[in-house]
Amino acid sequence: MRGFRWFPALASLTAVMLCLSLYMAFDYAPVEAQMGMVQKIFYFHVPSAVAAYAGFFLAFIFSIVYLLSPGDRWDNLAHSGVEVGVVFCALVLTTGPLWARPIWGHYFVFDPQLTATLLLFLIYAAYLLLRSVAGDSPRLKKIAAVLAIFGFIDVPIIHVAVRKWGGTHPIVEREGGGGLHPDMKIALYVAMVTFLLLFACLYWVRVYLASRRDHLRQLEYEIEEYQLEARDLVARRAARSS
Amino acid sequence: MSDRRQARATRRGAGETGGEAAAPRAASLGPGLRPGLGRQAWLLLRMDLLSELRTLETPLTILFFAFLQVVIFTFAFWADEDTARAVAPGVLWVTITFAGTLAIDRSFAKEQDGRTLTALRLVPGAPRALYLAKLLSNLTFLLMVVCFATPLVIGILGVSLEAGQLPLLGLTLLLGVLGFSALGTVFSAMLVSVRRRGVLLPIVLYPVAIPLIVMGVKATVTLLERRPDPEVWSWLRLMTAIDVLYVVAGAWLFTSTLDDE
Amino acid sequence: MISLRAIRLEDVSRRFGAHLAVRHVSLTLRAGEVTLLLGPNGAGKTTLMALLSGLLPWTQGRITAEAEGGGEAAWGDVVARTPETLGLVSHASLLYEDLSGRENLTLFGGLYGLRGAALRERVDELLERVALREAASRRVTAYSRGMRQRLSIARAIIQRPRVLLLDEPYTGLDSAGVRLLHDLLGEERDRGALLVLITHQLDLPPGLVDRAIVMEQGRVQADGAPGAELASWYEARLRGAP
Repeated sequence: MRGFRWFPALASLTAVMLCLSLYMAFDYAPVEAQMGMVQKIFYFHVPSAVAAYAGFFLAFIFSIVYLLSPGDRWDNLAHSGVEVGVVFCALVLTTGPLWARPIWGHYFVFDPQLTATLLLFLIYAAYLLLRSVAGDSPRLKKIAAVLAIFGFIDVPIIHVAVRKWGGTHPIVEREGGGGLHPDMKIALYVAMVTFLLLFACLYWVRVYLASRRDHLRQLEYEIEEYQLEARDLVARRAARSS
Repeated sequence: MSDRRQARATRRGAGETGGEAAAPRAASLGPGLRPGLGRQAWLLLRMDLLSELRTLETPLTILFFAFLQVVIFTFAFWADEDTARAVAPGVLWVTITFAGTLAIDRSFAKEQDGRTLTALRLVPGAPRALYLAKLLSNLTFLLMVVCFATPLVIGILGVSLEAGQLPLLGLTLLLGVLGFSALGTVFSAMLVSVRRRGVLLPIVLYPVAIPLIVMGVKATVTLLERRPDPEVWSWLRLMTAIDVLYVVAGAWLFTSTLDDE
Repeated sequence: MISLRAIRLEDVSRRFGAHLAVRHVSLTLRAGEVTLLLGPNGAGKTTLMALLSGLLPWTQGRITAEAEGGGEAAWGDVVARTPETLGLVSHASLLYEDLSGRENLTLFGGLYGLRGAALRERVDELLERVALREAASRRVTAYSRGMRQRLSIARAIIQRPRVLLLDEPYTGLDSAGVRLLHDLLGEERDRGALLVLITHQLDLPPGLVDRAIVMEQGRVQADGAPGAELASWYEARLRGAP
């Protein structure tokens, strides 16, 4: 509930790391021979994907916890995970085509990774849609939890499937395999850490916001209860004196 | 907070069959015999199919809807015989998915009319049996659509199919609709008392079901293009794994979401 | 045969969002008694009954089952472990509309573990008891409100529950039906069951109800032996209430 004290420290660290990773991406890492400057988007694209997965994974874990022992705290943690995850997923889906257009000539190609990300985005967007359209009852929270769980079960399935559907594009290289220059690798790792920190910041704020909102509601209930008690007391006293 | 603690305590109680001696025991109660999962599921399934058979509401609606879709798709995609043949697997799967959604959406209507889910929750073991029964009844309706739509699509779109390919095609379709039924059963059960259920069901169901459906399409394409069997099998193995995952996860999620109004 | 002696509620509350439907209720309900639950609409009677049924978790307090020998257990545990402890007649019929009366009873009897000749016997016995013998093979859709209600009652006692909760069981019953219900309630009580009855009906036959509890605004306002005194007090309250 209270735990916001260390947030400024995390936020400052993230800001420093953001600057550092900009430097790493544009200055430290060499310009890629074939793709040129466009390849720099790589240092934002891949880390965003990692952050999105972090969000979906947290949502998966806390959804299971929520189903095992329903409490609004777990629901908040899961919901926040999806929300922040979807933001990063959207980043992946915007930086992907920006990168793809000059390199492959099309904004969207049925590249395995891209398709997988799109499918994941659909699942979690459905989650957010469900939450915003259908209200806030415990029942809906459970439905959302089930969706988040099935969504994450789908992650490996989607990955296996899209690879089988046949992508013609280099996966190995983008997964940080052997094809990368060592300096590029370092820049990538720095960017990944940075994006995870950024994710942690946003997640923290989002969870904190939700817990404050719940706390506020709780206080409202209490006020109402005191009012009722007071009214009762007054009525009883009046009855006694008459 | 005490709510959560209590809920946990309740669940713990549900997990144990023994329990301390102090608790009033079930054994001395009522009829005594505790029915097995299979018998309960069978009773519920029989009830389900029996009352469906009386009204024929679901079968008639879904079959007619499937027919309509095949007609619409034929008009929409027919350019020449080659394109027709090329889109046939997609048409077949989309028809099955959409018509199946109609059946899945209706699958808890009977429980909603008389609020019988409340009564079933008071029967030991009934929620799990209900999952099994509804899964099988949804599967039955989806297989009905499959049996109706497949010859229709093959006939209208002029797909050439050898008799030898039929078992494998049947298996592909079965694996596809099995996983889809499991997902649909869980989601429709949860959405029973939610407003705008009709809109929300496809929204939550389709994104999760896409990979399975697309695999079904791919397997069907591979099959109809007369590629070697092992290639089809590699798809079918994947689909089987997904089915197992969905059915098992569904069983847990179904019962854990049923216990709250 | 019955080992449940009483259900004890201590400071039990249930909140729905901002609304506290049941507030700080402490009561002991005893087996072998018919307890009447009275109160104006919205007094929390139905919520209290839902808490007793274990279908709705309470948000505060404790509900304990006392066994005959003196042992105790959390009521939530008892209900979760042996849900057949409970029979429930609620606002909704809890019946399958497209099945006949006999099929409904057979289904629920079968789910509770009866089979073969025992099941047939029990179903016949109950159909006879609630005077639905002739209508047994008609579908519930074709039943009148009263017939439906009688079938609901039969369904609720098919497993010979220890605790029978009845929420407005008089709905739609004609005078013969009411008599029948009273006879049944008497039989269940003599069998040792714990009965809770919610109704607005006040002209109950003498000797049927052992105890009456009046609820108002989620609270227990009066609790005692039923009698002319209570009835007139209650009616005065109802009339006096704004």
